[in-house]
Amino acid sequence: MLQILTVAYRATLEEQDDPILWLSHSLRNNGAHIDLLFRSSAVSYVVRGQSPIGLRIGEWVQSQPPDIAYEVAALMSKDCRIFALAEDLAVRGIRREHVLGGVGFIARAELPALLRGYTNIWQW
Amino acid sequence: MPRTVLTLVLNDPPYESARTATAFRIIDAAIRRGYDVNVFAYEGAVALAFACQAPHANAVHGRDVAGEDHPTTSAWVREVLELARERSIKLDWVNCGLCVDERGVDDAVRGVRRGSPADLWSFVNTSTNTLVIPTR
Repeated sequence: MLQILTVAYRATLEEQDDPILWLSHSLRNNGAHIDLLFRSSAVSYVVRGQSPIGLRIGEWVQSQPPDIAYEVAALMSKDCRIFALAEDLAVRGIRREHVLGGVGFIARAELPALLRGYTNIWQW
Repeated sequence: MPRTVLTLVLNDPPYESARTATAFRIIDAAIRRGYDVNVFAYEGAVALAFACQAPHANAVHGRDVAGEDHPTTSAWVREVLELARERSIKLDWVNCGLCVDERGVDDAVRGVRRGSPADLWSFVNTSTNTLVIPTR
């Protein structure tokens, strides 16, 4: 199965995770073979060193901020392959040295070949 | 001949997106075609079956509650469950339990059950095809 994520940081602060990354972990834990492709704004998820700490609403202070890059790396540790669309990284000025190790850069022209390798493709 | 089984993953909460009505139309059409249907309601879509929804009047339209006849998505869920029952079709509507908890919508219409991503994975493995309708 290939999960394609296109939207970044949707509800991640209040969910303390990304809902689709969380679902991917859960499906993987239930035996699914999952790879992920990040496109559009979601390519930001492979950037190292993100730190959304310090959210405060009134007296409430967040104690468990989301660690998106950690969750992506954790999926890789569960043998999930992680890809990011090269053109979407480039247009955002995200270079390889900014990105988690092990992420595959896929050019748009390589997408058909990548997609042919999956029986289930879910775009979020 | 084995029956076609479709799984739909829904994410939008009620009254927020045109995708909701589209999803119900697909479910209705699939049932009428004799397909078994699984629905995994994730994130805000767990509120689609919230039994505490209530229709309201519409002063702008100049209509009272009865006159406005405002739909509720929980009524639509009841309708497709009844449609499936009448046609001896299997409609399995599962709400993601953690999504239900954090939204406080645990009072679901009868026939909807609480589940988890394990149910979704089971659906995927026993379906002819799966359609994800994501939110934005």
